[in-house]
Amino acid sequence: MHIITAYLMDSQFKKKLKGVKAEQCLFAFLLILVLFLTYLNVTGTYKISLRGEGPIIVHESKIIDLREMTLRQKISQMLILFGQEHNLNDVRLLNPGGVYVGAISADPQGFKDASYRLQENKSVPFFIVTDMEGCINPFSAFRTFKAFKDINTTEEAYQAGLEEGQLMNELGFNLNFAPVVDLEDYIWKCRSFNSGPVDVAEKAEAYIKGMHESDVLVTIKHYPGKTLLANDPHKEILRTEIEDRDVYPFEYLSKKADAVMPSHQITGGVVDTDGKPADVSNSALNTLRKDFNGLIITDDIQMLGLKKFYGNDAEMYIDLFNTDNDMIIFMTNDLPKVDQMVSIIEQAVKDGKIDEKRIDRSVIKILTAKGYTVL
Amino acid sequence: MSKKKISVLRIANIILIILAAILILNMIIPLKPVTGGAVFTYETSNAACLYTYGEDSTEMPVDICCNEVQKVLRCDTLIDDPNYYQVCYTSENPSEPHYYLNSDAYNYCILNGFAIQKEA
Repeated sequence: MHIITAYLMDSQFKKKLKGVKAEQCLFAFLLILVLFLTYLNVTGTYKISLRGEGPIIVHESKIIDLREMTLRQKISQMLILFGQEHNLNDVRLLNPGGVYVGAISADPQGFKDASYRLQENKSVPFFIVTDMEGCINPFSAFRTFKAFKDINTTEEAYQAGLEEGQLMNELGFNLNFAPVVDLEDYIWKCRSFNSGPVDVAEKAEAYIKGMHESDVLVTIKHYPGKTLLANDPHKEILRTEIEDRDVYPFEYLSKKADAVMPSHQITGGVVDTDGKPADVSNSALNTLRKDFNGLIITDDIQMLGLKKFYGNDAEMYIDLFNTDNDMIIFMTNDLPKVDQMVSIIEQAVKDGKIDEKRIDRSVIKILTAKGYTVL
Repeated sequence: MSKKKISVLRIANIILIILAAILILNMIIPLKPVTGGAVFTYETSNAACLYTYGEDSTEMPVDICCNEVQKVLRCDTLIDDPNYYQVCYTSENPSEPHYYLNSDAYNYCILNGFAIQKEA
């Protein structure tokens, strides 16, 4: 009896001991798992490898069937991301419609190499974009140009467009975020032609002609005008009154420019944005669309003029896609955040918050501008 | 003693299982972006950015400054300057645009995800 009792007690003790050991092992395993998952969530490193999409299918004679494109491919075509020396491969993986390249090199070969690395084996090439605006010039380490403010005649403007365009083309760029057609520039004091509306419009027209002869597309900015004002350096959301003279260059150039960039400003007067930044204002973009059928490209959505207007980024993303923007500039080095944005838009389309036909319209415009026939 | 230990471990394990499930869910379903950045995102009161072009200079809004500084070739730390921490430019030629950022402006740009150029 004594032996049996001792045996039972011993086996119960062993059971308990085993239970403790099992719980301890489970605890250690779960702790490691949670730490690993936290790392993945915080860094977002898992996202790109999970969501990378394949190439867009292109048929003979540069024909693309929209039905063969996935929703993520379409959304990605509407993005312009920031390409830097270290992230070009990741940017390629996300397959955006365009890549902004700033001053990544002090010599021309560095730009040529970057363009080649980006475009190599792409079924649909990127827009490779920069701000080539005379004084704001990513190539100024090896080539300088006249500031727009110092361009006095339309002939000089044409020559500037031609020479800047030729350099861009030679280095692999095909879209310029210029010319600025705001009538004044009180911040940089060099980016605007700095004269009356008719003169600005005519110089911009000549500049565009030069760019087009160099096979570079142009973007006039920033709709509806009065953007380059800095009365208060700590005030991000600006409100201005737009007059007829401010929008004149946009109307005059509506059939010549390939793209228009609306600003993040809230405006009243002849272009009323209904209390919203221009690039998320249906009212402003509908006014712009009356004359203009090209690409509408937002300014960088990282900027506070837009961001501060929204409570959270998801709401901002959905509004940007629900307004008539064709391309959205997202200048961030946080590529998982871009991937998350694509997922939010994808979900919003599935939930019926964004009409897929709206996205299709923009994708058709983008691919057409790239020289494709879209079915 | 063992009973108490097992109970504590069991509770800890249940909590860890719940945490792991939330983290996995967050990876599969895109949740709305977290708002943890809000504290620093909009704090610009002491940030300053000076833009110079030839003989002209202008203090510019910090977020526009961050946006522009991303596009330049390089930024250098200013060691002896009491007002500014970094100078950013594409061409060393002083007649070409230069941006001077104080440390608050520089940190603001970095924390907000702007891709500021590292020192060469």
